[in-house]
Amino acid sequence: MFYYAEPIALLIEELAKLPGVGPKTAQRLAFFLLHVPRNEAVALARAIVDAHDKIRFCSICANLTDADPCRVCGDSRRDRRVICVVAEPRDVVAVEKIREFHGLYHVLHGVLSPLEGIGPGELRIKELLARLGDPQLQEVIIATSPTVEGEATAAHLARLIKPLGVKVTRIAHGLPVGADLEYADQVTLLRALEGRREI
Amino acid sequence: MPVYRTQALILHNRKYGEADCLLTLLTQERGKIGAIAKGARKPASRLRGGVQPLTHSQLLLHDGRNLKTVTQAEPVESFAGLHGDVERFAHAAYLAELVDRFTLDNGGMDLFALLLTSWHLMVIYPAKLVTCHFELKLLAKIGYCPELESCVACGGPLTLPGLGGRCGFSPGLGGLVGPCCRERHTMGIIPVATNTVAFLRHLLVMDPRQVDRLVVGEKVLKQATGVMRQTLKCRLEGNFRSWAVIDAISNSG
Repeated sequence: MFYYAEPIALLIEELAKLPGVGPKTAQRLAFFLLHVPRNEAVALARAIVDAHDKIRFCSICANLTDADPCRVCGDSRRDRRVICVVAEPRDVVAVEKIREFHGLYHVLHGVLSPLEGIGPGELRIKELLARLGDPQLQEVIIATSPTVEGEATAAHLARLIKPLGVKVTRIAHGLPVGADLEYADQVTLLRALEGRREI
Repeated sequence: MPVYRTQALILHNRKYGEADCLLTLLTQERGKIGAIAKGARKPASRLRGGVQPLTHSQLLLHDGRNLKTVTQAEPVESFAGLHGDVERFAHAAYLAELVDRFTLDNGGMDLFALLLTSWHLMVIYPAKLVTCHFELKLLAKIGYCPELESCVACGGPLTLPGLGGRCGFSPGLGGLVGPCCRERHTMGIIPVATNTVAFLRHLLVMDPRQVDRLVVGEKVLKQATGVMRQTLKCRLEGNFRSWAVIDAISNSG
């Protein structure tokens, strides 16, 4: 039985490998791409290849970058006394968006997850510990998500960093802006009360 | 019944799509089931706290065509003591993996109380001890209880004073091989000390709430852990993901 010409079938097969894309969506995307002008299709293909070829890990903070060191690590105006540890490169963007943090980052590329087989060896912890020798460094802020895995990762990092004499802090936990107090769970409310501040 | 309320232990929580979570739950009434918590990763989600892994929650589930959907979630116990201690966290996750791997869909209802009790104990008592107790009880509940009272090869009774350090454990045969049969069974035998045999026997019959009364030497605990791991590996014909993480955390600490 004839289905699709080989190039289309191959395109559908490749698109179906993307996260959240099933066979039907892959088919729809493939036919959309067949109908876009050639220059747009080439631009997409080039963007994918360029990203693959040019993006690497920053040798200092392990963030994804096209230049080594990355723009943050190479910026002399950044505050070198503070390192903010995040789980993913996306989290660096989230913190940068608030425009209030001017220190450096360190990207772990994941959190401890025994059920997924992710242990300390799979994270960029060794690279973080190597940065702690910098005499300018005063504080490490652990900004992993307040999930069970994020908390366990924070606890593990604190256990490793504290003996080295560097101040370790954790981002505050509590109620998100716009949330209803009555629907907050006990742990969130407890953390919110513990982290209360004078106004 | 399209919508129902249930007590559940969250065994696993995987990210799905933009902000959803795919959950593996162990419920009291329906055993192990899969469910989706839509939007649970959004900061203002009302489900968020109740669908975290290693949590005991009260859930309202809606029966979908394929997956159940979590419409309400309230944590009954979040086991906050596990989150701040990475070793306890890794062991608690391992217990969840054990239950997940050893049960089929809609099975494992009788493991609910055991897992819940063990997570509670894990917050207070040594993680390795609680894990060893859980492993043994789990094997007993699913019908793979290791033979610790008599020689698994000949059936002869094994009395502790008579073992004299010449006893071995055969994961393949599923129990102790006494001095009577050690000569004939040498393949894959783990040598076990008399104290380890006594410890495992006691674990099997003891009340889990009395785990604090146990005083166990590091050597005995290590040997018992090795015996349990080999037995589980043999029964499941594979490794557990958590083992590597537990070992890495133990070595780094």
